Amino acid sequence: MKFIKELFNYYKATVFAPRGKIRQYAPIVAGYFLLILGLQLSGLYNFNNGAAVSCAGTAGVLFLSGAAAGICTNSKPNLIALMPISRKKSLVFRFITVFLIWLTAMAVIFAAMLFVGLLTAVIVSIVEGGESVLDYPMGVYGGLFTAFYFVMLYSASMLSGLIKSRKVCNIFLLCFVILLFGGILLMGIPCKLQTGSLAAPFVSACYESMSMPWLFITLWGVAAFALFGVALYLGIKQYSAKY
Amino acid sequence: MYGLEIKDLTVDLGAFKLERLNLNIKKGCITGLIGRNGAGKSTLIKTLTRQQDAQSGSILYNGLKFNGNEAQVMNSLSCVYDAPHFNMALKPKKILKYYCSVYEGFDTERYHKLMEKFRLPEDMRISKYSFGMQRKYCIILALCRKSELLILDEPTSGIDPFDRNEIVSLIQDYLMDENHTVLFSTHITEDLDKIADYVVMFEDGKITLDDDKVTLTERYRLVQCDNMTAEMQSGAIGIKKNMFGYTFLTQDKEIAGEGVKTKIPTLEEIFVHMLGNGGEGI
Amino acid sequence: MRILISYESGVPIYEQIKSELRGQIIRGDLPPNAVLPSIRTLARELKVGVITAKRAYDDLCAEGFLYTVQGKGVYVSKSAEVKAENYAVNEIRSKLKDLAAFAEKNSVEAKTVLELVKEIWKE
Repeated sequence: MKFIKELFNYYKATVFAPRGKIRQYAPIVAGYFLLILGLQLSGLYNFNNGAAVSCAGTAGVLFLSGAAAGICTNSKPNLIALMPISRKKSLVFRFITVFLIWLTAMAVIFAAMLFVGLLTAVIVSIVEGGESVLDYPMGVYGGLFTAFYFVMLYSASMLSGLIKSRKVCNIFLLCFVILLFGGILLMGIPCKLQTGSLAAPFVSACYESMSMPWLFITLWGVAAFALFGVALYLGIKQYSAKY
Repeated sequence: MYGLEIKDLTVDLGAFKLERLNLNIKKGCITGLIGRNGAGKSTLIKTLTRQQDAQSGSILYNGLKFNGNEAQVMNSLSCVYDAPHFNMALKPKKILKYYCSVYEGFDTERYHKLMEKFRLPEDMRISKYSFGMQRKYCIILALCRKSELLILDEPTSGIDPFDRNEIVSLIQDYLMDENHTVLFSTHITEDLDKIADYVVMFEDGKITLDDDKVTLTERYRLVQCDNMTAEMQSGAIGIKKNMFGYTFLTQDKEIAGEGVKTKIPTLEEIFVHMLGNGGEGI
Repeated sequence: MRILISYESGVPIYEQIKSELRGQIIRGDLPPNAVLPSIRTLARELKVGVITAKRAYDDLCAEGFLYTVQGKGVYVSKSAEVKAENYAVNEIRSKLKDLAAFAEKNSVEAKTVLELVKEIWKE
């Protein structure tokens, strides 16, 4: 299939990007990744929950993959811009390649463990819903939150590549991380679980003690897709050449 | 007719701007871009090869707009930049495989022949190549593609005279097909002097000269004299003074007299006297 | 067929190509109806621009030394030899005129000049 072949070529071209600019941005991206991961893991330390750890870690790697792909695409001159494909295809490939890189990263890093843990936790937790390997199963709300969490980190990583100005990008990433974890912490308050825990929104127990759980989940959903919408918008704008 | 038609192109890089550039590059000919460092040659080339975004204007590649014809345009365009545009940790084999897979009609046989001719090892990482070897490799990649437009950014700088000769031959070979177009920017006016058909001079983001080489060298005369008369002063371009007298460029072909020597200038002499002159006297 | 060009001589390259070709035509190295390399081949072999090669051929066609057959190539015209000789004679005549003027300006008698001519021709 030509589409698959071209997609793999795009993926290879992204990975073959000259490393020059990467050296400038890598520390920043790595910094945010470690920040996200660190906050998650520290918050989860007291809270034995395989699902949340897996989701958090996996989503963090997704963020890293997207941000890395963005850097590679932006280090010019590169093979990506020279590919003989339409702009539309190029845009689509850019959004998909992140997942390809993510899969590669997941296979390479110890994240295979997280992946297995995620699968087990999600499947077991949602299907079983009750007593399981985990102390705190995710449940439907937890699952939804996890999905929105993934969309948010994915969109943020795409934006880090699509925002042209380094200054604006840094401000965005900083605000994003603050708002993301601030939001999660705030969720923990109506939760009446271990207050301030970053795992709270991932587990169903949190929502059980809330008065209007659907409200919070909807807000997260809206925020997640709004972020995705902005990333899509910037992508379309960048890939429709005016000349 | 024209391999490239550039209309009102504007590229804004903050500190540097290309404003409302208009340029037409003829098919079947070699056009040379010349100018001082930072004059805008590389910016133009990066914009033409889609590595740099332009704010406004239009570019037609063999009469085709980029929008809507991206695949065709990129297939017909091959370029050589001032630095390898791929990760240098790769080996030629991998890059070859990629190229064959992505671009239509990559001539593998010719690739191997050229690699042998330029003595480039196929099993060594590009990062281990010398600067000149990296350059030659990028040129080989560009030439083995089935393209109609060849754009090169300083293809021969850093290459020894023997290989430079070879590369110039290869560029001329490329032009045996009349439908091909070549555009290259360079500092080495010697190469331009020999094979360029058209010459375009850049200064501060603007084109100050766009002519065919024969007309250019016939329009001006290089004058060397002991003293300058008022008559000489009025038409003189880029007057340079040394211990023995003055050297300048002029359009006045009738200048003659005691201690006055005139000759047809080489491209280098034209540029040295014109550049930094703000384009006066053109 | 050999064409020698020099970048230092101050004479435009296309003029040099033209005079080399004319010389070969006069000497008979290029007989009438002989085929010449295409413009692009000439440009490549001499390492000159396409326009330069084209100019040389175009000028020689206009002067009547060469003719082109659409789609086939460039050939030496039938009367080229005669034209070339006429051309050479005309060039010598004009050069002699310059020589005469120079001699007069520097007060050299015609007799002296003629003797010089004989001397040089003997060499």
